[in-house]
Amino acid sequence: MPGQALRRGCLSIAGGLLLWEILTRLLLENELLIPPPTSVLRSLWKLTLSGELNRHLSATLFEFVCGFSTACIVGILLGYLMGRYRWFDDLMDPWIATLYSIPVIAFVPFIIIWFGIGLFSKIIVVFKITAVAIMLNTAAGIKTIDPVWLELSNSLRLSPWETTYKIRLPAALPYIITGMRLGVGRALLGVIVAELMAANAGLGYLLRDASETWDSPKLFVAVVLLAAMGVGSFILIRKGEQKLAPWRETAEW
Amino acid sequence: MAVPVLELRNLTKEIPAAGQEPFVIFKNISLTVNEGEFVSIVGPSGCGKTTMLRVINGLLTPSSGQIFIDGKEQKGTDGDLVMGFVFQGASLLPWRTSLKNVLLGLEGKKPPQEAGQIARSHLNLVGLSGFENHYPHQLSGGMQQRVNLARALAVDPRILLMDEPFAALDAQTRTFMQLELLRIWSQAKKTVIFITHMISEAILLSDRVVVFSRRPGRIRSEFAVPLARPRDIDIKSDHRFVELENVVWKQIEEEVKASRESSLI
Amino acid sequence: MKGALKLISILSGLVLWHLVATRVVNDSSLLVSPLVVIAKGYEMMFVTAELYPHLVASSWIFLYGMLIAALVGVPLGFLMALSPVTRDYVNPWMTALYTTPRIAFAPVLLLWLGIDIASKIAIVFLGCVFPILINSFYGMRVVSREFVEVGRSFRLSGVALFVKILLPASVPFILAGLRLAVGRGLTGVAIAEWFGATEGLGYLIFFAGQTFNIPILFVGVAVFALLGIFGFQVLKIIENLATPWRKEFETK
Repeated sequence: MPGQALRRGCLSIAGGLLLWEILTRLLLENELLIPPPTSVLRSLWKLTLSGELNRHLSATLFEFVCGFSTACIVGILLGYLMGRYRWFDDLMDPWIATLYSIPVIAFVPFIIIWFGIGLFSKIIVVFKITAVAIMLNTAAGIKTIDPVWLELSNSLRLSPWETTYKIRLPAALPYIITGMRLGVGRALLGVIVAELMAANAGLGYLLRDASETWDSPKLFVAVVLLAAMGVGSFILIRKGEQKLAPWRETAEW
Repeated sequence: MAVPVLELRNLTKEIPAAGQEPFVIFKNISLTVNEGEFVSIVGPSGCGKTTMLRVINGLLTPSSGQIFIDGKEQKGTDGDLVMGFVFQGASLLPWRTSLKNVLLGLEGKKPPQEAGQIARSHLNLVGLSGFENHYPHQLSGGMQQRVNLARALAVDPRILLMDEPFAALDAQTRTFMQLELLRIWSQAKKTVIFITHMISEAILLSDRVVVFSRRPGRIRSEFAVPLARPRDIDIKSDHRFVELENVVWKQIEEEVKASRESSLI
Repeated sequence: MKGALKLISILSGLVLWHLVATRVVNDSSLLVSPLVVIAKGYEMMFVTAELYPHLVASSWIFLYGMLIAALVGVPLGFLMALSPVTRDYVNPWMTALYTTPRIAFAPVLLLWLGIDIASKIAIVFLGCVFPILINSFYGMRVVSREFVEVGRSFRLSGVALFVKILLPASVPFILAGLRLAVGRGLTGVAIAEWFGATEGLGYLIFFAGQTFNIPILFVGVAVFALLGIFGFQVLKIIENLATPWRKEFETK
């Protein structure tokens, strides 16, 4: 029963936080190691009032949204071509495979050297990470389409354009969304890495700032915000998945 | 003198629904199956015959009623292994070879040597000697069902429950498997309950055909099959076979029509 | 034909890279020719051998992290699949931990565990554990109901049901989880070594990045990519060996 699961989930979160608060209050003398939740909240409140929070949050979000949307467009387009045309797939495959197998964060130094420390380099990071995932998944979706459906579209004398947007793309949609979901997590990581390395705003910057000044409540604020962003984007994608491909069972995580 | 092996008393299965009338799948089924008897159950789709077989086996619990085997009441899956179940689909464990699949019910109950011998002899019985070390994916659908049958027979059950075992096979393989089952049954001498939606299959194989009503399933009628054994394919053109097939078909047709009308209202 | 096109693609890409590096950019602090990278790689492997300490340091962190992740992830995944109550209580924390970019935890772990190997292993662990856990969970849960019924119809005990049906059926899922974990584990290594390390491939890359030493940067990234491909392939081989029945079963 979903209601019960929700209730247990809330109970678990509330209980965990309470335990955390009590334990840290009772056992630890200074807040450096693990600040109690209330200190984290106080720090969050202070950051909000000073407008600092707004600045970091909007910087990260902006980078993320710009990179992600460009990646969706380019990724789906190239992925479609890779799925449709064998020669294009062969051409792209070795490079995509290489790009894909390099850890996100090994890539960031290059981007910073080439594109500087501004917004643009972070957008590139997000773009690179997400686009590859979407591309590979779109191509897989287009490739694995059931030939019967193509025969069906031929027998109905659908035009090539109709075949594309009535048959091929809907058939590949679940794959595309999976690509997006994979991309989101990695892209968020990428943006934070880039901000950690070199930036003057953003949640990654906040994280570095807090850890360098040993301000652990602030550090936890950054962690909690990042968690919220992760969970938020995850829920959004899942909702989108249910809306766009309702015929398909959605994954739990 | 007929000795009853399986006895069902007022077996009912319903699924409780919150704030509504419970969803009744089958109701007040009482049935006795005698030693060595082959009983088929036919009925319209969704009449609860497969569910009933699972309840008999203990895979599902009945809402009320009792199940006796050799006079001993059966509860859930705790008791001794006295029933063999032949599943409809590809229920062979894909990570086990044919032989290992047949061994599943014997492991830990018999010494390994003896278990191996029993498993081999049953593979031989179903005509699969030489395929002991094949994985399920290397076997055809008909062969998989043979292993399925061997696996259920190998534990020497008092009664064999078969849940539409040939439903997924193509028509030719299906006919062939029916004849094979006749042969195997005459050798293994087991008491069998056989679920099917194919009337000719039921008549060909059985001593008795039980017709289920539409949901909630009840026993609508029973027919003794007046055909001598051993039987072969020619029996299908025997006039008694054809007549019985017609009678049963009429009854099922009535049930299907009635359920269609009630669902339209 | 297919292979040829790929080869041409790789070769022409490399030539293009070489031309861009030597003719267009011509600044060794921005981009160097692939030839320079290969020469540097050769030097680091066979002449100065300076690559190996880094490789060894990273490998240990990676292996420990993976091992602990498997030891924790598989049982926990099973437990969550078999007990809905556990799942409901663990789920919110897991979703939060899983969806948060792992790097956010790096400073926290560093704060708790210090800058030696423990905190690095913890970071790798955090990266690896979720794909393993999630796959174990799904493996255990999607074990076809029919298989479980088979076990129950043969009156297998709870233990036998687990050992003979549930466990073997989820092996392919666990292995797939391990394969996914390789990439995330390597990212974890890079993150871990970036924060206060003195050796390791991650350290190599960041040090090179900060000093604009492009050849070493490329070598480091290439080693990472190769390790990823290598680990992936090794697990694929293990998968084929461990589940010989799987291959055609999957295509059904």
